[in-house]
Amino acid sequence: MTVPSPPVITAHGLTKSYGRHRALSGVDLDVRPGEVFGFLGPNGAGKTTTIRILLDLIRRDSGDVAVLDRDPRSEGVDIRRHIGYLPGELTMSSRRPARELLTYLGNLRGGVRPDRIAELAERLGLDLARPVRGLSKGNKQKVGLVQAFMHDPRLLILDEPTSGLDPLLQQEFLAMVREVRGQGRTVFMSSHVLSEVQDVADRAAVIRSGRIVALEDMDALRARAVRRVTLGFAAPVDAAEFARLENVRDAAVDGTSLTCTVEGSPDALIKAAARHTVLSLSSEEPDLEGLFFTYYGANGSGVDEEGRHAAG
Amino acid sequence: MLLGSVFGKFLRDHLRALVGWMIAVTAVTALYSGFWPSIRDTGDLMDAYIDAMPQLTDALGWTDLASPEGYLNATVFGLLTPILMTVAAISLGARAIAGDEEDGGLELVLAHPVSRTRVVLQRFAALAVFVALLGAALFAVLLLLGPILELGVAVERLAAASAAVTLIAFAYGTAALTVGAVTGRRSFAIAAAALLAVVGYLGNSFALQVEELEWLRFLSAFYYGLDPDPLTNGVDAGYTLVLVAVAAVLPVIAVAVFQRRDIMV
Repeated sequence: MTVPSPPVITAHGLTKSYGRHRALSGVDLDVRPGEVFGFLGPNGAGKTTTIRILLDLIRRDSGDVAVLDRDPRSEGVDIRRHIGYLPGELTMSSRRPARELLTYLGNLRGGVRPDRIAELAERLGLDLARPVRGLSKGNKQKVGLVQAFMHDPRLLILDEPTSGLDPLLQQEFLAMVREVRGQGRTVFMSSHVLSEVQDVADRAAVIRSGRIVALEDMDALRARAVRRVTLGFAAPVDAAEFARLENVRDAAVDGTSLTCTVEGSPDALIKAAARHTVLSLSSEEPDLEGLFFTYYGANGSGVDEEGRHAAG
Repeated sequence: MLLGSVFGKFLRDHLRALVGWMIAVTAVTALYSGFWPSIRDTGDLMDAYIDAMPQLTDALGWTDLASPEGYLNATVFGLLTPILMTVAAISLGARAIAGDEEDGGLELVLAHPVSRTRVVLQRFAALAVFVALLGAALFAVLLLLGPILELGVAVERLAAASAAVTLIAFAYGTAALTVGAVTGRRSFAIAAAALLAVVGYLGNSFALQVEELEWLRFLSAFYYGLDPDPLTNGVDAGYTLVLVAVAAVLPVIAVAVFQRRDIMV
């Protein structure tokens, strides 16, 4: 992206019904070039429906959509040239080997170099010679990831990309996502939990009952994050010394051990503690998920309850 | 090379099925035509059989078992290979759109830069090639066995009859593809096409015994394909055109509806 580009995805007032069931009731989205955008929500909230409208697999009832500045309804083929898509439910029933499927899918895009496919397969630990129908859920997911990444698309749309991957592969996947962002390309990925995307996403939106109920900058969220910190000192310390520090709350001393909560950066706490001899330091991971939904729940929209439910 | 297009990949994915059906068509054709020499030698007996049960034998199209054309019409062309090839065509036609859609494979392909029209038309073309190869197997067996069994049927007549059977099967396969493209349900595609085929077969055989049901034959691809007796008379342009027209119009409907509807998960 050398020149300032328009948003990669915009949606405005997107609605979709299946018979009498209303799947989307006015979705608004705005995904910028070069960002990793997390799209969160419980199952059945409308994530997959939204994604499938972006790819023109299903057609919206009303609202405006632009993907890479074009309407999927009329220019779907052109748009999909620049998209890598991982379906939420990847079922593959062919007896043919994974390599053949990937070669074929590459050919539909005008050809992808075999060594590029091999490189991605090796990175994810996928055996290309095995028939796709016999693959485990995790291995099928790898086939899906290879076909989504292999042609270096401008936009990656990934529906529940980490489902079925073991933790090590999830890390590898996140590294791939970061590389894509590093090259100025855009990633739009859905998940039903924040924790799967919080490490990599720049922004995240929450969809619930077919409507966007929250949109958050992840760095801003992290700055508000509250973590519980426990410090063990060689000698007893004074609680008052720590209680007045920036970002520190609820400081309590029990002998040589100090516990407190830190909101945002722990810089002041660390510098103050450094004046003493520190024997141990433990810090809980901040509960971004809780914060995310608490924040929006506080606006009286009732997101809290259901959002938490969704996250579980 | 087959991996370059939707057409090629669809054929490649069903190569095993193709080989299997070709073996079945070959075996059935060889088996039944192989009985011809012994049937011929008992020709008087068979004629007596036909005279004894004129209604049943007429319904089955067994008008003349004493000639090779009559015998082949009664067995290979009238009954077994058209049914076998129709079943094969329906099963592939139902898989072309609806089956793949239900399996989830279609979603992945349509997320690529290919139009829905292209997918329908290329799979329609693959179905045509598939059925044509079954017809070619039928023709090849009779061509090879003809001199050995002393069938004495001209090559172009064998070709005409094989083509007629191929077109019958193709018509029903196209119907399955179309119903699948319209509804997205493989079971609907199979049920609708099989119903049409059964009504078509009965409409051109047993229903002919009942005057009120005679009109049924006009819904029957079997009627248009076999009634002109291509084995005796060669290709009948008018009747053949009806089958070709059916196979040409149905995909247009398939594309028109498939372009407009949602792809199911």
